[in-house]
Amino acid sequence: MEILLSGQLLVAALIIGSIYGLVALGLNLIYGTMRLLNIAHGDLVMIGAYTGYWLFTLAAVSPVLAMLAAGALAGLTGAALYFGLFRRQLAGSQPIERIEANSLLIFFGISIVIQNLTALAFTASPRTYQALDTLVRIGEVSIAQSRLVALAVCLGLSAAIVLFLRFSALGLSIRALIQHRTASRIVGIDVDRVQAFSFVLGFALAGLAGTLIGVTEQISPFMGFPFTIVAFVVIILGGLGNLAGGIAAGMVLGLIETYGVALTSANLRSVLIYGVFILVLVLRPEGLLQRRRLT
Amino acid sequence: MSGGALLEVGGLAGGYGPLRVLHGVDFAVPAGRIAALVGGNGAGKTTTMAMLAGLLAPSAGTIRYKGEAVDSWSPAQRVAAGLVLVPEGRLVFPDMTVEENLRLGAIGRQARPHTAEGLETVYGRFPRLAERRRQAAGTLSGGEQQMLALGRGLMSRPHLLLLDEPSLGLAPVMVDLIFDAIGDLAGAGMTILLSEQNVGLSLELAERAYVLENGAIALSGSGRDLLGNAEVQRAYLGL
Ligand SMILES: Nc1ncnc2c1ncn2[C@@H]1O[C@H](COP(=O)(O)OP(=O)(O)OP(=O)(O)O)[C@@H](O)[C@H]1O
Ligand SMILES: [Mg+2]
Repeated sequence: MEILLSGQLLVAALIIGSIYGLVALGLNLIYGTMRLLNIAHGDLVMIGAYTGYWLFTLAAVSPVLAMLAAGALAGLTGAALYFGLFRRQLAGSQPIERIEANSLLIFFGISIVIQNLTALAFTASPRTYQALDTLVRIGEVSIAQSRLVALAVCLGLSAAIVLFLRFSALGLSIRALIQHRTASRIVGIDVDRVQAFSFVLGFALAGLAGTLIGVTEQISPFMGFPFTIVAFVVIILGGLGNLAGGIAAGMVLGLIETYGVALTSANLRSVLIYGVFILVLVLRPEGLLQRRRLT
Repeated sequence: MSGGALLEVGGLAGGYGPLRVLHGVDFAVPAGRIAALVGGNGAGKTTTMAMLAGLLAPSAGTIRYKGEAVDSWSPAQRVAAGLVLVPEGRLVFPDMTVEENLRLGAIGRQARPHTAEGLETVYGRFPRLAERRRQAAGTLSGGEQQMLALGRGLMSRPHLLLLDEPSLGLAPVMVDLIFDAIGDLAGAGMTILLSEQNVGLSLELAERAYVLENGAIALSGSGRDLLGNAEVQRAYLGL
């Protein structure tokens, strides 16, 4: 019981929660503006983790710098996919429901391709590396520097994005597109530009978070899928397309997972997350099935 | 530009997938005047408006605005050129505040630098919006939402305002208020295309009027002519 009251556990929960919030923010941005269900989202996390691993192993680049390279790499991947594949679909006259359903299949294919190419290039064996591993003591709590960096970056970036959405013209356009696609076109928002920006930013955030995750977790070509699931749980919990809500929901899931595991066993981690997933779908099916009208 | 028309539409046809709604619609909107497009439910007025705003691609026909063919222009390009739609059903952004909705009207590059003066003008014309500037648009009454939709359109600095059913579902007091605003705008030189089921009121205001039936123009003339037309009186004015 005592462990539940420790600051150590609370900080651990906040770190995981802030990472979940940022990963899910990217997914939510893409879903909210375009109704694309990116089930390859976790694979961008994986790409970011490998970027950090190789830059550190081959060139001793700190993860703090490597995360920027990972963000850029994932963002470029996003740009290639948007301009090469999704832009034409979104500009056509298909109903958005069909685009949404198709996107699930397309991203499923993309996910398989990314995972297998990575396995081919780097083998499927898990890797780890030691970077930023000095322990920092804050009062009672001692944490690895890498996790402190992850907490600061994730919270800082999430806050910056919320402010950007609230106070900039492009942010206003993004929120408008999430709320009402037709009205956005009527007021003269350059929908294509807003979509491209959201797509690239969503990918970049996942890649960047991936580097931070890869410092503390095992890296493998198949590490991404659990993060895809986590991101979906978070955005369903926080409300699809509700970006600030998703950040809060990331924290909630981090708390549930950390305290749940502390009370039971580490083996139950996935059970907890899928449990929350199923529970939310049962209690709030409108989260997934009945979204805001989309005309 | 023939005969001082700001907008000329020729042979406009098309619809939704296999459903053909318009079968060759021709009309013109004279500069600085109100033109009315009237007709019963399902005649194709909203479909026409959507094509003018660039929301729906026609299968045939041309749209000339200020003498230029705008058929390939995106909605954003049309708004930037001053061709602005105030849509049927208002389509405000429900979870945004009144002021954010208005700011979105001026989101285009041309209008954005004039946001502050635009807000002042709109709040001056509709003080109720000023009182509710921090309220979510979805919580406004129907009439207030219509004011907001009109205000949002004005924020885009339109030269031609496309008004689709601005009085739909409003109480008589609100209808008067909206039509007063439309009259004022026209008096100040704005060009307006007005689509209405409130045929009497719109024909009174309109310099030019067109009756749309089954996707084609069945009758046209000055508003006054059509008001006196026996067929119009029987079919639309219940006389
Ligand atoms: N999104 C759509 N998909 C399919 N059919 C549509 C769509 N919108 C309108 N229609 C059909 O097109 C026809 C014309 O509709 P439109 O909305 O243009 O008429 P309207 O003249 O504006 O009518 P009202 O006075 O009721 O607003 C109708 O038969 C309608 O059912
Ligand atoms: Mg209509």
